[in-house]
Amino acid sequence: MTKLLKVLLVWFAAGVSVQLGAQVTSDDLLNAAKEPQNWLTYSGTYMSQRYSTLSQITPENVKNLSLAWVWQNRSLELFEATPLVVNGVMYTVQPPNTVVALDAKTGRVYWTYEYDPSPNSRACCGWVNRGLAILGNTLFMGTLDQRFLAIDAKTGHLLWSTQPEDVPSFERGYSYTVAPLVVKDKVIVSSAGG
Amino acid sequence: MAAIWALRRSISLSQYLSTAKRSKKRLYIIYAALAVWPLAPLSAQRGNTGRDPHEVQTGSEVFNSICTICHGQEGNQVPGIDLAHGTFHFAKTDQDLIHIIRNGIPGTEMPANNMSEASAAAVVSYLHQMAADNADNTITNGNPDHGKALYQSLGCAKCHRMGEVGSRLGPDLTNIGNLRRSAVLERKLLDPAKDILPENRFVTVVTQSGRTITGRLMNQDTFTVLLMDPSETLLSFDRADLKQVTIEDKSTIMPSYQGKLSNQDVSDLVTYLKQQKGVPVQ
Ligand code: HEC
Ligand code: HEC
Repeated sequence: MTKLLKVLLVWFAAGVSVQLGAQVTSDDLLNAAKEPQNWLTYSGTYMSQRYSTLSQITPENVKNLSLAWVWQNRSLELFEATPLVVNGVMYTVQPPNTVVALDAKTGRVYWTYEYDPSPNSRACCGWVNRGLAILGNTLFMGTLDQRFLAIDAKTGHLLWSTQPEDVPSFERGYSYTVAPLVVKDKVIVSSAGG
Repeated sequence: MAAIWALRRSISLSQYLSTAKRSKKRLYIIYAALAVWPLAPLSAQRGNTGRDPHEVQTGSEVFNSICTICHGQEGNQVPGIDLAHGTFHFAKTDQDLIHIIRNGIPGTEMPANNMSEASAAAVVSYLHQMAADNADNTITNGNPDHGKALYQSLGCAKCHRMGEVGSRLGPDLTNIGNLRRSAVLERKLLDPAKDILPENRFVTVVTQSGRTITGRLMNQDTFTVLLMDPSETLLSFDRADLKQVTIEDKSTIMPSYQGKLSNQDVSDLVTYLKQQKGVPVQ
């Protein structure tokens, strides 16, 4: 038996539980202020003040901040997404609709999920996206061509994709650029444009 | 690498060492030669057609992007035409095939394809690869329900995800029916270490403090290694913090089912896997 197989079998035999549990529960979202190391919704908490209670950076020392890392975006569109941060992994959107998971400490990319919206999408003010929502291990994103996607937060695989009915078509200039919001077991998203 | 390989062939390493001056550059060349030494013959073994695996890969990409619409992924979708077993109605030689691919068959549905001779040759290499894969393929029309039961009882989900069920450690099988041919799936079940795709490789790292972690390789570059450990936690390492990094390209945790499953079981399982065609998009 190969060494690799042995190492992993020990893992399984030892009953090391595979954590299939949800990473982010709706209670976590409700109490987001209690985990300031994370950023679980677009505006931080349901209070939507976008204020972090982390205390390492202060008005006094802010002038000493220096560059920690750079991640090169492969798009010339504007960045308008506020990244989510969950247990050290940062999730953001490279415009228009490419989702990226980075190591928040170093900026290194774990995975990239590319979605190319229809070239006929017509957003009023640039091919932008404002970000994601997360529940469990699932990320949610609305796209410029009015699709709504669920993506596995660990691997970047598409879980499902839907075209909500009763919304005006992207061909008429409607799009999803807003970051969705999870409330309990529902995801709220709205389209804009026209 | 080709140059070094040629160099190895023309003079033995010891001859080379004796003539080599002790310049750093020379030594690097020797290190590089040693590094590729075991690789070259192995990569030649991979395909059983003796063709360049990179060319086969290119051919498969071209085939899957423009030929499958009519011929299907298994090459047998046009009635009466089978591109995947090495014998053809109209073609006797590789040159004939290249000609057909580039010029089509006038008066039939088979279109001319505006592609270079090299691309067409790559497609031909892939056709031969399919034939070689199919030569030892014993898959018959299986029973997908029994295949599904086997998938569950054999614990494939301990390592694989399908839809929203199962572990993310091994490759996601939600779309496997679109991605792989039956013969390739059969080989994976019987001889899993034979062909581990680069995107499916595992990595073992040993940290400076002596901790060993094996997991699925997510990403890597000159300075970093990113992986998913068996508890599905994403980890990111600086190479400087690691004593050892081993890309597992010749061994896999995927068990071999050779001798454990009957031919019929394997067919059933493969038939079930072939039905997995991705995320339903509404
Ligand atoms: C639009 C549909 C279509 C596409 C696309 C197409 N083919 Fe065909 N091909 C056919 C049909 C139909 C035939 C059978 C022609 C006949 O004999 O009536 C055929 C015949 C062939 C033959 C001859 C088989 C033999 O037994 O001699 C080869 C080889 C072939 N195709 C290769 C390819 C390759 C490689 C591609 C992609 C580069 C491709 N075809 C793309 C429809 C297609
Ligand atoms: C102990 C973990 C483990 C188990 C159990 C396991 N696999 Fe795998 N499997 C892997 C890993 C890891 C890979 C990727 C490396 C490789 O190709 O061997 C893989 C690769 C595969 C692939 C190739 C995927 C591709 O992209 O081509 C298929 C198909 C597959 N497994 C099917 C199965 C089926 C069906 C079962 C159950 C009968 C099973 N596996 C059981 C770990 C496992």
